[in-house]
Amino acid sequence: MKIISLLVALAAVTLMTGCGPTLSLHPLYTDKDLASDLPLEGKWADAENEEVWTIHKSGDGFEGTSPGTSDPEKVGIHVVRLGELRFLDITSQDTSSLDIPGHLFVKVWMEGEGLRVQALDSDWLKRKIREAGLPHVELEDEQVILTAPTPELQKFVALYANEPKAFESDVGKFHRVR
Amino acid sequence: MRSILMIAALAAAALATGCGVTLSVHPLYAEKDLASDLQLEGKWTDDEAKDIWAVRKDGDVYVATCPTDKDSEPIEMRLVRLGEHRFLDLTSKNTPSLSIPGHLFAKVSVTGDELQIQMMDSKWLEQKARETGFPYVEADKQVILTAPTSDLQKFVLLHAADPDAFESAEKLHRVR
Repeated sequence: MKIISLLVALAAVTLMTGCGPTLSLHPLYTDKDLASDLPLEGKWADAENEEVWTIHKSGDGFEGTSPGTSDPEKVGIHVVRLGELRFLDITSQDTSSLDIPGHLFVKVWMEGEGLRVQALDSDWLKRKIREAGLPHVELEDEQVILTAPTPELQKFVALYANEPKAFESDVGKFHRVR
Repeated sequence: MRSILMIAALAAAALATGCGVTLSVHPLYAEKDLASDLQLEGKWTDDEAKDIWAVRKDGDVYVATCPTDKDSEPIEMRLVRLGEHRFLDLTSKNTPSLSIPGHLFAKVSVTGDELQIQMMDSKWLEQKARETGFPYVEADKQVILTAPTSDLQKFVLLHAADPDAFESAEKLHRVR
Protein backbone atom coordinates (compact mmCIF):
# COMPACT_ATOMS: atom_id res chain seq x y z
CA MET A 1 0.00 0.00 0.00
CA LYS A 2 1.50 3.28 -0.97
CA ILE A 3 0.35 4.84 2.24
CA ILE A 4 3.47 3.19 3.46
CA SER A 5 5.24 1.63 0.53
CA LEU A 6 5.33 4.91 -1.36
CA LEU A 7 6.98 6.51 1.60
CA VAL A 8 9.24 3.68 2.49
CA ALA A 9 10.23 3.40 -1.15
CA LEU A 10 10.71 7.13 -1.24
CA ALA A 11 12.91 6.88 1.81
CA ALA A 12 14.83 3.96 0.35
CA VAL A 13 15.33 5.70 -2.96
CA THR A 14 16.41 8.91 -1.36
CA LEU A 15 18.86 7.01 0.79
CA MET A 16 20.19 5.32 -2.34
CA THR A 17 20.60 8.64 -4.05
CA GLY A 18 22.47 9.98 -1.07
CA CYS A 19 19.81 12.24 0.32
CA GLY A 20 17.43 10.90 2.91
CA PRO A 21 13.80 11.88 3.48
CA THR A 22 12.99 14.75 5.80
CA LEU A 23 12.23 13.13 9.14
CA SER A 24 11.37 14.63 12.49
CA LEU A 25 12.77 13.70 15.89
CA HIS A 26 9.48 14.68 17.48
CA PRO A 27 6.03 13.36 16.65
CA LEU A 28 3.31 15.48 15.05
CA TYR A 29 0.92 14.63 17.88
CA THR A 30 0.28 14.68 21.55
CA ASP A 31 -2.28 12.27 23.00
CA LYS A 32 -5.11 14.77 22.58
CA ASP A 33 -4.45 15.12 18.85
CA LEU A 34 -4.97 11.47 17.99
CA ALA A 35 -8.00 10.67 15.85
CA SER A 36 -9.82 7.41 15.38
CA ASP A 37 -12.29 8.44 12.70
CA LEU A 38 -10.48 6.82 9.77
CA PRO A 39 -11.20 3.14 9.07
CA LEU A 40 -7.56 2.20 8.66
CA GLU A 41 -7.79 -1.33 10.01
CA GLY A 42 -7.79 -4.12 7.49
CA LYS A 43 -6.05 -4.97 4.23
CA TRP A 44 -5.30 -2.37 1.59
CA ALA A 45 -3.89 -2.68 -1.90
CA ASP A 46 -2.62 -0.21 -4.46
CA ALA A 47 -4.27 0.18 -7.85
CA GLU A 48 -2.18 -2.59 -9.38
CA ASN A 49 -2.79 -4.93 -6.46
CA GLU A 50 0.96 -5.34 -6.35
CA GLU A 51 1.20 -4.87 -2.65
CA VAL A 52 -1.19 -5.77 0.09
CA TRP A 53 -0.67 -4.16 3.45
CA THR A 54 -2.24 -5.29 6.65
CA ILE A 55 -3.01 -2.67 9.25
CA HIS A 56 -4.18 -3.47 12.72
CA LYS A 57 -4.81 -1.46 15.83
CA SER A 58 -1.86 -1.29 18.18
CA GLY A 59 -1.98 0.77 21.36
CA ASP A 60 -3.13 4.29 20.58
CA GLY A 61 -2.22 3.87 16.93
CA PHE A 62 -1.82 1.24 14.25
CA GLU A 63 0.80 -1.15 13.01
CA GLY A 64 1.33 -1.80 9.31
CA THR A 65 3.07 -4.75 7.72
CA SER A 66 3.53 -5.93 4.16
CA PRO A 67 4.75 -9.52 4.30
CA GLY A 68 4.84 -9.80 0.52
CA THR A 69 7.45 -7.14 -0.06
CA SER A 70 11.06 -8.12 -0.60
CA ASP A 71 12.31 -6.07 2.30
CA PRO A 72 9.34 -5.76 4.63
CA GLU A 73 9.46 -2.99 7.18
CA LYS A 74 7.03 -2.91 10.03
CA VAL A 75 5.76 0.60 10.64
CA GLY A 76 3.84 2.36 13.39
CA ILE A 77 1.07 4.71 12.31
CA HIS A 78 -0.75 7.40 14.25
CA VAL A 79 -3.67 9.34 12.82
CA VAL A 80 -3.35 13.00 13.76
CA ARG A 81 -6.15 15.55 13.76
CA LEU A 82 -5.02 19.02 12.67
CA GLY A 83 -8.18 21.12 12.32
CA GLU A 84 -10.38 19.50 9.70
CA LEU A 85 -7.55 17.55 8.15
CA ARG A 86 -5.95 14.24 9.08
CA PHE A 87 -2.29 13.36 8.87
CA LEU A 88 -0.40 10.16 9.41
CA ASP A 89 2.68 10.13 11.60
CA ILE A 90 4.68 7.11 10.40
CA THR A 91 7.65 5.56 12.21
CA SER A 92 9.69 2.43 11.73
CA GLN A 93 9.05 -0.42 14.15
CA ASP A 94 12.29 -2.11 13.17
CA THR A 95 14.59 0.48 14.66
CA SER A 96 17.73 -1.05 16.11
CA SER A 97 19.35 0.03 19.33
CA LEU A 98 21.77 2.38 17.58
CA ASP A 99 19.12 4.06 15.44
CA ILE A 100 17.15 7.18 16.21
CA PRO A 101 13.45 6.85 15.41
CA GLY A 102 12.26 9.31 12.78
CA HIS A 103 8.73 10.54 12.15
CA LEU A 104 7.40 11.01 8.62
CA PHE A 105 4.23 13.04 8.03
CA VAL A 106 1.67 12.58 5.23
CA LYS A 107 -1.81 13.92 4.55
CA VAL A 108 -4.54 11.27 4.48
CA TRP A 109 -8.23 11.24 3.63
CA MET A 110 -11.01 8.94 2.49
CA GLU A 111 -12.60 9.21 -0.95
CA GLY A 112 -15.62 6.98 -0.82
CA GLU A 113 -14.19 3.71 0.36
CA GLY A 114 -10.77 4.50 -1.02
CA LEU A 115 -7.87 5.68 1.00
CA ARG A 116 -5.82 8.62 -0.27
CA VAL A 117 -2.42 9.73 0.90
CA GLN A 118 -0.21 12.58 -0.16
CA ALA A 119 3.37 13.04 0.93
CA LEU A 120 4.93 16.40 1.62
CA ASP A 121 7.15 17.50 -1.25
CA SER A 122 10.68 16.95 -0.06
CA ASP A 123 12.32 19.84 -1.93
CA TRP A 124 9.57 22.26 -0.95
CA LEU A 125 9.77 21.11 2.64
CA LYS A 126 13.52 21.59 2.89
CA ARG A 127 13.31 25.04 1.34
CA LYS A 128 10.46 26.09 3.60
CA ILE A 129 12.13 24.75 6.74
CA ARG A 130 15.22 26.81 5.96
CA GLU A 131 13.20 29.92 5.06
CA ALA A 132 10.96 29.68 8.09
CA GLY A 133 13.85 28.91 10.41
CA LEU A 134 12.05 25.86 11.74
CA PRO A 135 14.55 24.16 14.08
CA HIS A 136 16.43 21.46 12.21
CA VAL A 137 19.84 19.96 11.59
CA GLU A 138 21.32 19.14 8.20
CA LEU A 139 23.40 16.03 7.80
CA GLU A 140 26.38 15.76 5.52
CA ASP A 141 24.31 14.06 2.79
CA GLU A 142 21.92 17.07 2.89
CA GLN A 143 19.25 15.10 4.70
CA VAL A 144 17.24 17.48 6.85
CA ILE A 145 16.18 16.35 10.31
CA LEU A 146 13.51 18.40 12.01
CA THR A 147 14.23 19.09 15.68
CA ALA A 148 11.28 21.41 16.30
CA PRO A 149 9.00 20.42 19.18
CA THR A 150 5.53 19.06 18.47
CA PRO A 151 3.58 22.36 18.86
CA GLU A 152 5.86 24.08 16.33
CA LEU A 153 5.56 21.14 13.94
CA GLN A 154 1.79 21.25 14.17
CA LYS A 155 1.67 25.01 13.47
CA PHE A 156 3.99 24.58 10.50
CA VAL A 157 2.11 21.66 8.97
CA ALA A 158 -1.32 23.23 9.61
CA LEU A 159 -0.17 26.49 8.00
CA TYR A 160 0.64 24.74 4.74
CA ALA A 161 -1.90 21.92 4.88
CA ASN A 162 -3.89 23.37 2.00
CA GLU A 163 -0.94 24.66 0.00
CA PRO A 164 -0.77 22.54 -3.18
CA LYS A 165 2.95 23.19 -3.64
CA ALA A 166 3.65 21.70 -0.24
CA PHE A 167 2.65 18.22 -1.37
CA GLU A 168 3.70 15.76 -4.02
CA SER A 169 1.43 15.94 -7.07
CA ASP A 170 1.11 12.16 -7.05
CA VAL A 171 -1.70 11.05 -4.75
CA GLY A 172 -1.48 7.48 -3.49
CA LYS A 173 -4.79 5.66 -4.09
CA PHE A 174 -5.69 2.45 -2.27
CA HIS A 175 -8.64 0.19 -2.05
CA ARG A 176 -9.73 -2.20 0.61
CA VAL A 177 -9.12 -5.90 0.03
CA ARG A 178 -12.07 -7.93 1.26
CA MET B 1 31.00 -9.14 26.50
CA ARG B 2 31.17 -5.40 27.01
CA SER B 3 32.10 -2.53 24.69
CA ILE B 4 31.17 -3.05 21.05
CA LEU B 5 29.87 -6.42 21.95
CA MET B 6 27.65 -5.07 24.67
CA ILE B 7 26.53 -1.96 22.90
CA ALA B 8 23.49 -3.51 21.37
CA ALA B 9 22.47 -5.09 24.65
CA LEU B 10 23.26 -1.91 26.55
CA ALA B 11 21.27 0.22 24.17
CA ALA B 12 18.40 -2.27 24.06
CA ALA B 13 18.24 -2.41 27.83
CA ALA B 14 18.38 1.35 28.07
CA LEU B 15 15.57 1.70 25.58
CA ALA B 16 13.54 -0.95 27.40
CA THR B 17 13.86 0.92 30.68
CA GLY B 18 12.95 4.19 29.03
CA CYS B 19 16.38 5.73 29.48
CA GLY B 20 17.87 5.95 26.04
CA VAL B 21 21.53 5.81 25.18
CA THR B 22 22.87 9.24 24.29
CA LEU B 23 23.39 9.19 20.54
CA SER B 24 24.49 11.88 18.10
CA VAL B 25 22.93 12.67 14.73
CA HIS B 26 26.30 13.83 13.45
CA PRO B 27 29.42 11.66 13.23
CA LEU B 28 32.59 12.31 15.21
CA TYR B 29 34.62 12.39 12.02
CA ALA B 30 35.17 14.11 8.76
CA GLU B 31 36.92 12.01 6.12
CA LYS B 32 40.31 13.51 6.98
CA ASP B 33 39.98 12.31 10.58
CA LEU B 34 39.68 8.64 9.73
CA ALA B 35 42.58 6.47 10.82
CA SER B 36 43.62 2.89 10.15
CA ASP B 37 46.62 2.60 12.41
CA LEU B 38 45.08 0.18 14.89
CA GLN B 39 44.84 -3.50 14.08
CA LEU B 40 41.11 -3.82 14.65
CA GLU B 41 40.58 -6.53 12.05
CA GLY B 42 40.31 -10.07 13.24
CA LYS B 43 38.42 -12.03 15.88
CA TRP B 44 38.01 -10.84 19.43
CA THR B 45 36.61 -12.27 22.63
CA ASP B 46 36.53 -11.37 26.31
CA ASP B 47 37.81 -13.25 29.37
CA GLU B 48 34.76 -15.46 29.45
CA ALA B 49 35.15 -16.29 25.76
CA LYS B 50 31.38 -16.65 25.48
CA ASP B 51 31.02 -14.85 22.16
CA ILE B 52 33.46 -14.18 19.41
CA TRP B 53 33.21 -11.00 17.39
CA ALA B 54 34.61 -10.75 13.92
CA VAL B 55 35.83 -7.38 12.68
CA ARG B 56 36.56 -6.89 9.01
CA LYS B 57 37.59 -3.81 7.09
CA ASP B 58 35.53 -2.56 4.18
CA GLY B 59 37.07 0.63 2.81
CA ASP B 60 37.14 3.17 5.62
CA VAL B 61 34.64 1.17 7.63
CA TYR B 62 35.16 -1.65 10.09
CA VAL B 63 32.20 -4.00 10.32
CA ALA B 64 31.74 -5.99 13.54
CA THR B 65 29.55 -9.06 13.56
CA CYS B 66 28.99 -11.77 16.11
CA PRO B 67 28.38 -15.08 14.34
CA THR B 68 27.96 -16.83 17.70
CA ASP B 69 25.00 -14.65 18.69
CA LYS B 70 22.17 -14.70 16.19
CA ASP B 71 20.44 -11.76 17.88
CA SER B 72 23.38 -9.42 17.62
CA GLU B 73 23.35 -6.53 15.18
CA PRO B 74 26.15 -5.86 12.71
CA ILE B 75 27.83 -2.65 13.75
CA GLU B 76 29.77 -0.22 11.60
CA MET B 77 32.80 1.35 13.21
CA ARG B 78 34.99 4.21 12.05
CA LEU B 79 38.36 4.71 13.66
CA VAL B 80 38.75 8.42 14.37
CA ARG B 81 41.99 10.24 15.08
CA LEU B 82 41.61 13.13 17.53
CA GLY B 83 45.00 14.40 18.61
CA GLU B 84 46.88 11.53 20.23
CA HIS B 85 43.68 9.67 20.94
CA ARG B 86 41.76 7.15 18.88
CA PHE B 87 38.01 6.87 19.07
CA LEU B 88 35.40 4.63 17.54
CA ASP B 89 32.30 6.08 15.96
CA LEU B 90 29.72 3.29 16.08
CA THR B 91 26.54 3.07 14.03
CA SER B 92 24.11 0.37 13.07
CA LYS B 93 24.84 -1.28 9.72
CA ASN B 94 21.16 -1.71 8.86
CA THR B 95 19.30 1.47 9.67
CA PRO B 96 15.67 1.28 8.47
CA SER B 97 14.64 3.86 5.91
CA LEU B 98 12.44 5.72 8.38
CA SER B 99 15.14 6.01 11.03
CA ILE B 100 18.17 8.19 11.49
CA PRO B 101 21.56 6.56 12.05
CA GLY B 102 22.71 7.33 15.59
CA HIS B 103 26.40 7.68 16.41
CA LEU B 104 27.88 6.35 19.62
CA PHE B 105 31.44 7.19 20.67
CA ALA B 106 34.13 5.18 22.45
CA LYS B 107 37.81 5.57 23.21
CA VAL B 108 39.89 2.71 21.83
CA SER B 109 43.42 1.37 21.93
CA VAL B 110 45.16 -1.80 20.82
CA THR B 111 48.24 -3.13 22.60
CA GLY B 112 49.57 -6.35 21.22
CA ASP B 113 46.67 -8.74 21.18
CA GLU B 114 44.56 -6.72 23.57
CA LEU B 115 41.81 -4.37 22.46
CA GLN B 116 40.66 -1.86 25.06
CA ILE B 117 37.43 0.05 24.65
CA GLN B 118 35.84 2.71 26.83
CA MET B 119 32.33 3.78 25.89
CA MET B 120 31.42 7.40 26.56
CA ASP B 121 29.17 7.38 29.59
CA SER B 122 25.64 8.17 28.43
CA LYS B 123 24.53 9.60 31.76
CA TRP B 124 27.59 11.81 32.04
CA LEU B 125 27.12 12.97 28.45
CA GLU B 126 23.48 13.79 29.07
CA GLN B 127 24.28 15.68 32.26
CA LYS B 128 27.14 17.58 30.65
CA ALA B 129 24.97 18.57 27.69
CA ARG B 130 22.28 19.89 30.03
CA GLU B 131 24.81 21.79 32.17
CA THR B 132 26.82 23.34 29.38
CA GLY B 133 24.15 23.95 26.79
CA PHE B 134 25.91 21.65 24.35
CA PRO B 135 23.33 21.29 21.55
CA TYR B 136 20.88 18.46 22.07
CA VAL B 137 17.24 17.55 21.65
CA GLU B 138 15.26 15.41 24.05
CA ALA B 139 12.80 13.17 22.24
CA ASP B 140 10.85 10.40 23.91
CA LYS B 141 13.09 10.55 27.01
CA GLN B 142 16.19 10.12 24.86
CA VAL B 143 18.86 12.80 24.69
CA ILE B 144 20.10 13.21 21.12
CA LEU B 145 23.16 15.32 20.47
CA THR B 146 22.72 17.71 17.54
CA ALA B 147 26.07 19.52 17.63
CA PRO B 148 28.00 19.52 14.35
CA THR B 149 31.05 17.30 13.93
CA SER B 150 33.59 20.04 14.62
CA ASP B 151 31.93 20.87 17.97
CA LEU B 152 31.62 17.18 18.85
CA GLN B 153 35.33 16.74 18.24
CA LYS B 154 36.25 19.70 20.46
CA PHE B 155 33.92 18.44 23.18
CA VAL B 156 35.16 14.85 23.11
CA LEU B 157 38.80 15.91 22.95
CA LEU B 158 38.31 18.31 25.87
CA HIS B 159 37.06 15.45 28.02
CA ALA B 160 39.21 12.67 26.55
CA ALA B 161 41.23 12.33 29.76
CA ASP B 162 38.31 12.79 32.14
CA PRO B 163 37.63 9.41 33.80
CA ASP B 164 34.04 10.42 34.57
CA ALA B 165 33.32 10.85 30.87
CA PHE B 166 33.90 7.20 30.08
CA GLU B 167 32.74 3.86 31.32
CA SER B 168 35.30 1.49 32.77
CA ALA B 169 37.64 -0.04 30.24
CA GLU B 170 36.66 -3.35 28.68
CA LYS B 171 39.39 -5.61 27.42
CA LEU B 172 39.09 -8.04 24.55
CA HIS B 173 41.63 -10.58 23.44
CA ARG B 174 42.54 -11.52 19.92
CA VAL B 175 41.51 -15.02 18.92
CA ARG B 176 44.20 -16.76 16.92
